[in-house]
Amino acid sequence: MKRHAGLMILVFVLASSCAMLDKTLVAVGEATGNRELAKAGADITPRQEYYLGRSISANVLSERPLLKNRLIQGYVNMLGQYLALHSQRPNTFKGYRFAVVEGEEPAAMSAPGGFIFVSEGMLRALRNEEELAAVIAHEIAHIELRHAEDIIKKQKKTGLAMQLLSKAAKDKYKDDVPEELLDWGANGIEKVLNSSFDKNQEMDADAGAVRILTLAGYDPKGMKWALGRVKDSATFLGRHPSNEERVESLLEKLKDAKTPKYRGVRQKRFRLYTQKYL
Amino acid sequence: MTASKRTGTAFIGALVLFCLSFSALANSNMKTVALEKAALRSKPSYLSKTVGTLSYGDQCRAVRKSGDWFEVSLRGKKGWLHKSAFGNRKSILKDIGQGAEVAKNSYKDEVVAAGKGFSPEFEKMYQNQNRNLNYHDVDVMEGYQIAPKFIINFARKGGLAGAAIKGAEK
Repeated sequence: MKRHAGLMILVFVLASSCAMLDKTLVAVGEATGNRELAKAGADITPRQEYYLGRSISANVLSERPLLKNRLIQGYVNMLGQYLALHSQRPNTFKGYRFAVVEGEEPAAMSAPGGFIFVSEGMLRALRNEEELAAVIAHEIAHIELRHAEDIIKKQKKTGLAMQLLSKAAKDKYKDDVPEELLDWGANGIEKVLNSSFDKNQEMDADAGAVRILTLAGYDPKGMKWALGRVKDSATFLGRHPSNEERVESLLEKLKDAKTPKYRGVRQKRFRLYTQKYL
Repeated sequence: MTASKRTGTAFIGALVLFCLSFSALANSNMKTVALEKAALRSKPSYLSKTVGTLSYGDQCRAVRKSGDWFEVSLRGKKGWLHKSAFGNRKSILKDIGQGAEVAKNSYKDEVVAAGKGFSPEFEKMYQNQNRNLNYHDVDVMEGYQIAPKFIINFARKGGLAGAAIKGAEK
């Protein structure tokens, strides 16, 4: 029992510093005779990614509910599914899902597992299907590149530490203590919601979008045009590098981009959905 | 060491190396399904016919490769899956509670449980504590499913001929 009390203090003190967390888990693993513990949180499984994505999506949708318009939802889902087929990660645990949500502010966001949101305001701000494809392809690229994973990995390691704390507390008080597990999970969701991707991640997602658009047959210049339509920070909750910086980093990649055929046909389709049905 | 002994040692060494390489190759052919339901395709294309389904954690054997696609077989089912349908065997087995550690040590059960992290159980607890969250719309969103024929139709009507739909059946 004393060993567990000491363990609790060890977990508390060391887990308070994120940088020390790996060492903490190693120390705790050794203290409990379980060396595998330190490695146990290394992988985020597809199933966990999906359930995390669901809870993040539930947060987003509580602020911005789904737009009740089946035609628009169908259009965005067909476009999104078509683009996802051209990503390097066309599969997620339960597949990609796309949604148009209420809100006049132009915004787009992705959640782990393949949940992608575009606001009604974003649809109104864009001028053609190439631009909408670019916005969605950028969000697919974040999922493809697993950008949320680093945040979760850190949080998951904390969770393991907290679970051990729970185990120690359970042994001591003969009582089930699930709250710690709930707390770390809730913190993880909050962290993903409030963390913006860093500049490199944004640039990588832009580059990923250009690749997806090109493979799918869209004009990759749509990425540059879309950035010109919206203000900086066009995610729901995060902060991006300035659009000017992003466009600048795209210029080299777009230098040799060919203009695909039938852009006018797609523009007509986009206008039909966004002007007649929206 | 005589010449014949040296030859014998070299032969045994080569045999061991061959066995190790063969074993590594055999292991690399085993794939773990990382999707809840993975549709086996008749051809290496998303838009080809579904000929069967595998589930999360299923271990299948890759028998052939074509680009990013693998032809796999399991329990008499055979079909093509994209490389992104596979994941890390160890962590997925832990996820579904089939890791070898589970049976060996009850304390490790708790570690495995901790490793599960985000799960239906967690979601239930989180939802109970945050009644304002809109899981209803998440479920509605998950219901937005598009059949492959509509995706092909969408692409063709928009004059798109992306790599993924080339050769798709009309």
